[in-house]
Amino acid sequence: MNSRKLLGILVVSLLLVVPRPGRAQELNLSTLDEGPVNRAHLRTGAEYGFVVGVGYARALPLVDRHIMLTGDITFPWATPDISDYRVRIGGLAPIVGQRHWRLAGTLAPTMRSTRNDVARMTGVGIDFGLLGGYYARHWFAAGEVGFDWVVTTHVSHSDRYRQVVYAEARDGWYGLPGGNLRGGVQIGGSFARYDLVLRAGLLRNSSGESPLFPIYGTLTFDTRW
Amino acid sequence: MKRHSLHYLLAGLALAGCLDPDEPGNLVPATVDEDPSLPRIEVAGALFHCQSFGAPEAPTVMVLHGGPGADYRGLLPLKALADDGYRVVFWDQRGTGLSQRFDSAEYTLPGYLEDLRLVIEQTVPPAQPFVIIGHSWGAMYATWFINEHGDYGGRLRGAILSEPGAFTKAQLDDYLDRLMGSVDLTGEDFNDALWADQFMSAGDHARADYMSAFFALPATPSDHIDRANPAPFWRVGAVVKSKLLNLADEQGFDWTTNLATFTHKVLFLRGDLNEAATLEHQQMLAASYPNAEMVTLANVGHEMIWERPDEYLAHTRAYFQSIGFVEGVQ
Repeated sequence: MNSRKLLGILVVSLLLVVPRPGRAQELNLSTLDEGPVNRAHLRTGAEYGFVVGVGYARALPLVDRHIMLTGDITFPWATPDISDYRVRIGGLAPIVGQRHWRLAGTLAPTMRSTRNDVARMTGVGIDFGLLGGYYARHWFAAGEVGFDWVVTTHVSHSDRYRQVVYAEARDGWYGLPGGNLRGGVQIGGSFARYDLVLRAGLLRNSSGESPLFPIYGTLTFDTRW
Repeated sequence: MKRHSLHYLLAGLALAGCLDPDEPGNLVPATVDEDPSLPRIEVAGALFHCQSFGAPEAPTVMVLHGGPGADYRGLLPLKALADDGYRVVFWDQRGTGLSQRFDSAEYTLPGYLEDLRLVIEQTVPPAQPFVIIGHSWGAMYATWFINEHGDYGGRLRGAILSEPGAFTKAQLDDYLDRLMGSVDLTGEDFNDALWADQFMSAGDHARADYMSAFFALPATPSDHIDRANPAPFWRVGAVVKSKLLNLADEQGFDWTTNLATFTHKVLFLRGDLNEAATLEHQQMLAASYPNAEMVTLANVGHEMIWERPDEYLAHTRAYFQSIGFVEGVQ
């Protein structure tokens, strides 16, 4: 697939998702409608490797509620490599719930990259999620489910793969190469303008089997202003 | 309906001009059932990628590759034995390399052992003696066969076993602990393999095999491969590898119960750099055979056949001479 086709996919994907809520978040939904509209977070933990991520989010009024638009970039930190990253731009919107029990939906177009012994890969996809639970003013406990769907991945094989494994391997955009389901829990505490959130759960690929690292667990520090 | 429309629309857009990760030959090589030009044999309804070198009437060397799930590509230096008057038979075991794939439910331990016997029946003429060279898992496979079939009516004259991992379930647990214990959980190779799970899923045989290469290509640190001269392979048989390990774990095994009856000389040939198959470990395994000899190659790891073919072949020839396995033997 050439770059124009890829650009077309991205544009259509973005147009389709803009009116909808955005990416999975670690935040106390009871604070969504409160004062500060800006948030920044720092996240670390294990999610397809040991990772660290930073992001910014902004709450925007929409009809009678607020939605959250976010941007986030994540890197594996075990062996820093600028070729390995994941970028998500999306958001979150409340679906139901006014007081303590709340349910929100998330959606985020995602681009990710890696380079390893086998290939250089760039993946484009969309992450869908739901999170819901009990949200008090200073703490919350919630469940989350989601699907990180890979729409297409560009693969450019390394010389090493061609020499050692398969010389005729085809480079290009591979359509619908997979995705990963997740299901887990979030617990968090909110203090003044700060949130601390722990997420943990299980991962399964689109065939229902475990990826190499079948669990995730992250700790997020979030501040508002 | 709206969500379905979105999925179909995006899928259609994505597929326009995109490659299919499951199409044979895209990410991993086509197998014998997908490429009719590949050399093969048919055994019990399954197609095996198989090549033999040397005169059909010559004494046969049956080569068993490692894994489970690897293939014979990195053992091809052994075909030089054909120039010495032997017939050398290579085959990719069921579900591996360029042999036909099967779904997980179709693999059984008795079936896998019977495959080896049937391949011997098909590739070694009835009156001919043969010797097995087994590397890693292949050395375990050879021992499994010997424990079950002894010297196969006098036809199996000996075996060269290069760094078998285990002959019993308890030994395998110890071996895997050392093997996996050498993996650096914060190292680049391991984390690259984890990170790659976000780009593609093992939803099909081809993708599963391809994804396994992310872990297999860097190799396990304890093996001490030469990264400047890595042993090549065609494909990791992800499904068969996982299934055989699961079966061994669930059912257990002890392939030492009848080895005392195999009185032919067995050569254990190892590399001194291997930190999982240490000298003590290999000596422990060799003790299960009544007539075993240990030879250690210096400054080489697990892929000694690929990295040091001349030394390996020299020891092989000397061993063949010592057991009288020479041209014209009956």
